[in-house]
Amino acid sequence: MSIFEYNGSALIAMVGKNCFAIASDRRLGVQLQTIATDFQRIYKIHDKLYIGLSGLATDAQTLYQRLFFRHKLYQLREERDMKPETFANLVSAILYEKRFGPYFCQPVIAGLGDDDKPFICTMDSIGAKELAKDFVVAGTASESLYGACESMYKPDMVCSIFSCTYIYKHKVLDIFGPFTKPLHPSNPTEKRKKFMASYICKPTKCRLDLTNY
Amino acid sequence: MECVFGLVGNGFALVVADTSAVHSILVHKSNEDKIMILDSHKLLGASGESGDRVQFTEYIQKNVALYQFRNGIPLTTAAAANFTRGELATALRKSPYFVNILLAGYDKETGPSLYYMDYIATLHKIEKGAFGYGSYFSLSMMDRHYHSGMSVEEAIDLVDKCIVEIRSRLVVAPPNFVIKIVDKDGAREYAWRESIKDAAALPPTTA
Repeated sequence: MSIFEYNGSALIAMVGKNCFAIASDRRLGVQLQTIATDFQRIYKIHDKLYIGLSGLATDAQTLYQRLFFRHKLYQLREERDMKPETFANLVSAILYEKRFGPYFCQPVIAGLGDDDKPFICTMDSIGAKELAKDFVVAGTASESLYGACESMYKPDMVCSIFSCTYIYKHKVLDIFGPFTKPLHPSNPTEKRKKFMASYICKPTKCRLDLTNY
Repeated sequence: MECVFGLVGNGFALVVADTSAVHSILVHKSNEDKIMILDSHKLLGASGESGDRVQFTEYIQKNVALYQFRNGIPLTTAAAANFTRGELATALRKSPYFVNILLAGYDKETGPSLYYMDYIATLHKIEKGAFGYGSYFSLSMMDRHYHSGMSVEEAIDLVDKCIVEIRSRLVVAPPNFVIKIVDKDGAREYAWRESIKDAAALPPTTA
C-alpha cells in the first residue's frame, strides 16, 4: 500500500454561484483498520479561506501547523488576511521546499478572493498547482470522485453543498459523513444543515475497511 | 504482540497494557510496566520497540516535569499530547522513534481525555483506542460494549472482557496485564491481571 493510502482520505471542493463548498470524509484509518470517525481534514485559515489536506495524517497536521503559523505572521505584518491565490502560492512553495523528502499530502484550497469570487485549487505533494473553475478532488477516493463530479457538475449551482452531498451518497469507499462548509459571501460561517442527513451515507460500524478487496 | 488499549469513562480515563518484555521468541520478563505516570494527572501507555519506548517516554516525562518546574503550573493533557507529537514529528524524518502512545489525562477544566499517537506522529483525541495485534480484539469488544460516561466498575468489566478476548483469541497472547487509571484524585495503578506469576524464591538450601 502506498504511503498516501496509509490513513485514507477523500476531499472535494466545488464552485457554485458566488459560493464554494469543501467537503471531506472523517475517517482516520491505519491501512485497513479504522481508528476514528471524527478526524478533521479541513482547516480554516481565515473566514474566507479553507484548506483541506489529504494523504498522510501526520504530514497533514504538521503542514497545517506550519501554514497557519505563516498566515498568522502574514496577518501581523500586512494587517490583513491572505488572498486565496497568494495562499495557494505559499502552500506550493512550502511543499516544493521539501522536493526530495516531501510531505505526503495533497492539499485542496478553497476560498473567496477579490469581490468574493470563489477560488479553488489543488496540488500534488510537491506543489504543482492545479487551478480549476469547477471542482477539485484529492485523496484515495479521487478517481471515484472525479467520475461522480464530471457526471453531476453543473456550473452556477446555487448552493454547491447539494452536489457535494449527492456525490457522497454514491461513494462507497472510506466515507463517514462529510463535513461540508458551504460558504456564501453574505454568510461566511460554517453550517452543517440538518437535511444533509438524508443524503449522507450512514456511518458504517466496521473496523476493517475491506470494500476495496 | 504488544497490546495497549484505553478508554474514557465518567470522570476518569483508563489505560491497559500487557506486561511482557519480548525479544524474538524469548520472553525476558512478564512484569514490565509499559504505562508511565507522566505527572500527577497523566498516564502514558506506550508500545513498540523496547529501547525507543523506554528512552522516549522517559524523555517526555522529564520534559513535562521541567515545564512544571520552570513555569510553576503543570501542562494540560492536550499540551502534553501536542508536545509529544511535536517530538515524534521532528524525529520522524531524522531517526524515528517506533513507539505508539496512548496518553490519558485528567484536567480540572476539561475532565478526562485520551489521545492516540501513532509512531509517525498522527495525533487524535479519542474515546477508546488500541494498538498492536490485540487491538483487533479489544477495539471490537469496546465497539460493542462501550458507551460514554461509563462508571469505573463498568469500565473495568469491559477491560476484563477485552483481556479475556485477547488471551483466548490471540495466538501469542501476553499472559499478564496492568491497568492504570487517572481521575480527579490523580494517576495511579489500579490492578494487575496476571495469569503467570513469578515463582516465589526458594528457601536457601543448607550445604
